[in-house]
Amino acid sequence: CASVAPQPGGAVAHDFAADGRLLARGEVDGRQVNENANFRWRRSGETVTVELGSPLGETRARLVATPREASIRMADGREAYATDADELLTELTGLTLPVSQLRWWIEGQPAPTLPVKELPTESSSTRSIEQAGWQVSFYDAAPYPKRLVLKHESLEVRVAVSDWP
Amino acid sequence: DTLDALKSALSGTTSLQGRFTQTVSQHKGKPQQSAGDFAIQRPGKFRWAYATPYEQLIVGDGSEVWLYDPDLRQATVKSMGNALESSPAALLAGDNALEKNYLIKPLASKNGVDWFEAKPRQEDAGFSNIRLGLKNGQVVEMELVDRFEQLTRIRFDGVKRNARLDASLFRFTPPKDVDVVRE
Repeated sequence: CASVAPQPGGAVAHDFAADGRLLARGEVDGRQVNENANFRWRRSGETVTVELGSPLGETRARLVATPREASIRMADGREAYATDADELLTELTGLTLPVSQLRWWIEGQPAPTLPVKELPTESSSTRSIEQAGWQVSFYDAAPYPKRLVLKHESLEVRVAVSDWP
Repeated sequence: DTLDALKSALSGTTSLQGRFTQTVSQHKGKPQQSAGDFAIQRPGKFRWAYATPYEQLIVGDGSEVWLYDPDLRQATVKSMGNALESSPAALLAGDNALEKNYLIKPLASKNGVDWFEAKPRQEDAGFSNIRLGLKNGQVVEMELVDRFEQLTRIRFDGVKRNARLDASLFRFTPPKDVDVVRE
């Protein structure tokens, strides 16, 4: 897999990095969803690492996902593995996120391998698409979106990015 | 002994107000910097307002804790309970039962700052270790280590102690277009 070339000064080169906050709210398969977290999102090649925590930086979970497999480690030491990152994340944290598609959307683009439909948008600084059963709105993408709102049936996910370290 | 210094620093303080800077260092990559201002009214009331790089407000009104995120247009409210994971101010604003929740141990002093370790007695507490730095009887720095060995360092400055603080600092009413979620 893609090697991660360390940058000078010890920082590790990621292909993409975003820090921010997110929430997921609504209902999925009859289950209420009501989660929010500060997140650190890192991608190297096709490996996405997502750390979820509190405003204070205290990490509650770390998910590592590739298109083929996913692993998660919880603050209490529990670890779990699965092929589907979304299921793993929901099961261990209650947070429901379309991780494999968000891998593209958080970088401001539709997933290249799935059909996509452009939707009319309210303003020029917004782009809306429909993909993988989700309605996705990108806000203030310059180049990466500062905010995203994702809707799938009665579930809404909001993402606010504060920094691309 | 020096432990009394910590206890009297905390119990002798009825209110604190000032600015904080927060640095979260991670294994890989640049530390995450944020800053804002805070206010504490003992017992149990605190305000922790992140200003940069994003706005996020945490208010403890004595019985509940509000977390308001303007970018996400959501305010969540939950009972005070173990509110520390929302802000260290909850630790500082806590009633004097510091020792009920933490195992306190004095550590070495470093350039004029007397350090204490506060190990949460609760096994599943979010932070595995907390260190408080005291100078002239006032908490000036905090270090919190999480279960992934990542360190959050908080530095306080411009701190006013025992000033009369406006009660509205410790109340939060969500703006109209914001979703309120009770956890």
